[in-house]
Amino acid sequence: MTETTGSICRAFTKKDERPVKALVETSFRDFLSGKYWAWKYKFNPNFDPALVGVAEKDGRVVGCNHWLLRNLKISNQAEVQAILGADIAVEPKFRGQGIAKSLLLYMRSLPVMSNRQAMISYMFADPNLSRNLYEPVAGYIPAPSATVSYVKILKWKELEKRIGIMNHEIRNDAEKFDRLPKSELTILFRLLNTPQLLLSLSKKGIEIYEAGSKKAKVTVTSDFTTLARIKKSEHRMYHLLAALVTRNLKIRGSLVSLFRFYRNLWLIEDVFSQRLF
Amino acid sequence: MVEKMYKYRLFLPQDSDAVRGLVKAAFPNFLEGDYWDWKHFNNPQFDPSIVVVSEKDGEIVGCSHWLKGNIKIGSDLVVGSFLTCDLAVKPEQRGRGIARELLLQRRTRETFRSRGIVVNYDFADPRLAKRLYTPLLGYTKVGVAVKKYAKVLNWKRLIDFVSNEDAGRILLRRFPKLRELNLSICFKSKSAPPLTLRFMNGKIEATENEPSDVHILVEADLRVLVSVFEAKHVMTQLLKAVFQRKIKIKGKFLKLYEVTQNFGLLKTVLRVISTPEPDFFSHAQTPKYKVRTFEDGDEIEIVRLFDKAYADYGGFVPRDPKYWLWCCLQRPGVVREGIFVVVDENDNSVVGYAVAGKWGNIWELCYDPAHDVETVVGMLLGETTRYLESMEAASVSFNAVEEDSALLKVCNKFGFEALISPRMYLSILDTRGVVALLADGKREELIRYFDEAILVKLKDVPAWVKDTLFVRIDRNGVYVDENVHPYTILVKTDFTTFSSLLAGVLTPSAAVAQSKLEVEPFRKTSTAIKLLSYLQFDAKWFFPMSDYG
Repeated sequence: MTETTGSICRAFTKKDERPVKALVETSFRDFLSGKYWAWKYKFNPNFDPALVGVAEKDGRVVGCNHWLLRNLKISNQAEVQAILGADIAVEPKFRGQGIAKSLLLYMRSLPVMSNRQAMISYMFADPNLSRNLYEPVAGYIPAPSATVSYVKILKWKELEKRIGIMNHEIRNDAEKFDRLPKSELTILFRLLNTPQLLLSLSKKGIEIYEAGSKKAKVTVTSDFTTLARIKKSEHRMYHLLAALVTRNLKIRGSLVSLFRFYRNLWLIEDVFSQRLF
Repeated sequence: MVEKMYKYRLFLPQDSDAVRGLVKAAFPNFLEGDYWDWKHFNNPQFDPSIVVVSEKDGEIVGCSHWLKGNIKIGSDLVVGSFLTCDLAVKPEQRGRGIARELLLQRRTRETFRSRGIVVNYDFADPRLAKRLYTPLLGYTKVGVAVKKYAKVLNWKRLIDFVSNEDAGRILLRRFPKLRELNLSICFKSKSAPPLTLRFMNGKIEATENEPSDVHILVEADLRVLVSVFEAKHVMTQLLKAVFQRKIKIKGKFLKLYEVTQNFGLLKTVLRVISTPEPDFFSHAQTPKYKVRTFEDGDEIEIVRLFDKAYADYGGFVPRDPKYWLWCCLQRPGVVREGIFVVVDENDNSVVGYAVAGKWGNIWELCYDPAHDVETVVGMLLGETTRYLESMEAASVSFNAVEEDSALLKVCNKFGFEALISPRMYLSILDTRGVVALLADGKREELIRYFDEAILVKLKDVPAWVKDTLFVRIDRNGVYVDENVHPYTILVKTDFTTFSSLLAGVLTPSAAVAQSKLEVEPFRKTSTAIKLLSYLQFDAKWFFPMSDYG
């Protein structure tokens, strides 16, 4: 048992099942709607409750970290026992108090470590979190990878959700509302292999229309990879210009419309800033 | 706990059946493969202590033989020799370094010295010698005064080949132009009876005669003819042979043009003269693919397919049917109607599958590369996309091996975009264990090239890792320890750099160039770089989405 910042890290017990399940569900809503704890751990043929740690504060479970022991091939002809570090979660209001760090260190004090049962620990993580937490605390480094993800967008469902949230924010933010275009600006996005997307920007906020239902004043033609590259870049404008020069991105419209498009680029950037699928 | 996937050991009498079968399957063209007992087991020179086998899960998957003898190498000099022969690995286990390991197993000074062996020789395919024997074992080509004489008595093999219905069907599928082709070619050679090939109405006919009505007449030595059609650039080789007057071709210009347009077909047919394509008939029955949803019992073949496709990659998590059922079928959002299986109707074998979850993830997509990738993957992507559209999913996504160009082609056709996959991170928990494991895998090379004691001093180590690591390599073996011992090379670095070196994401020379790694004495820097480059993960890493959790 370890104690830091008023919280205690200890081994998981049966009575922790409900709070841990709830914590994982709220923390990882984007993955299988967060409803996976029972399947992933309780019903997992390799699950060992001794490899789950919880952080407790004032008698309440506020954090958890899970380890799953697996065989893993690390090099040609070499297979070792490894630990998949998964579902490290801290309740939002207790974040920033070093609880995740305590949990990571607590897990490394488990008998599985002193017995040298596993040679490697691995995890799938957000690069920022890895840089700021997992690497300095637990010595994680990027694994060599030959993996690529293939994606095809069927619907702009996530974007619709994002626009709903944005419209709500704009309505409550006078400054943002003032920056909205006075007259309607319609933009058609033709991204290769995705459904066409028609956005309307006006004082009503941002609206999505079915392609063809309105005449677009600006047409943006590109592909998803280019868009993702611009989105991820720290120097978006530079990458946007580079994409225009290399003709990976084409923006068409009258000079006035293009100027208006440029004026409202902040809004478009905001629309595409979050996850798209 | 370390587990080696393959075990290497000396031959035991109870391995006879497995090794005999392995050799027979690997060398069917030599004495029909039925020679192992005569050549080895009943050979008075047979010595089981120089025969090595490779075993996986109790099954023999590879073997290598040495035959002891004497060989004259100079006018008055006869020395002890080993003839390397019958190196065989099961086809499904090839490409995993087994042959390499088999060759190295007994290759020690003691083995040679104790038996008075001075020379090791081998008869090998030049391509294999170039790729494997020379770089690994230092084989060099021997100056020979041997000439091979051959005469073709009949064209039976070729006639049988073209008259085989399955072969005809496959040729037609590979070369659709055959349907419209109307061409006859007669090949005349001093060392063989004349051969006439007629391509007509989608069929090929081969006869041993010299009719007067052929479109093209080709006169050449059989050796020249074979070398032209075996060449990488057939046209260049053909023109060269024509200019050197080694081949004479007569015929109308339009028909000659037709020949140039059908080189691929001709090459395939004529290759039967020199080497029958062993894989050609493995697909003799044109596969008929059918896609269906998951049925109980499929998990056994699915796991076999998954292992076959991904066992060579780092990050591979071995599956068994129970684990797979939990990992895929019982996963939230997955129902059996979302698991699509492509089977070859000829033998009902599973040749591909995809597991789609209702939120749009294809957790696993796997196919047998020996089959028609475009059709199999096309069926899987088509069905999963339709299914996920009906589930109102916003997108479809899956992970694949970056270098799989066949899959990339199908994905482009189906409108999928390649994105960078989510990052996987790893942390080394047992530095000594990992280094010992990597050193064990490269033991032979390390012993051959190094005689050093290296001490690694690590900075910024986490609490669970010791800040020193000692590796001693000498003729007795490789010794790895966490305690300090007398050393010849001192390496100073930080834990993150050392982890990156072991994982193969940073090269030792780059670490030195970036001042992340120091070597003392400085003159030993190149030795340290070379040594550390042996202690790196050497597999590419792949993880399907189902391994995220």
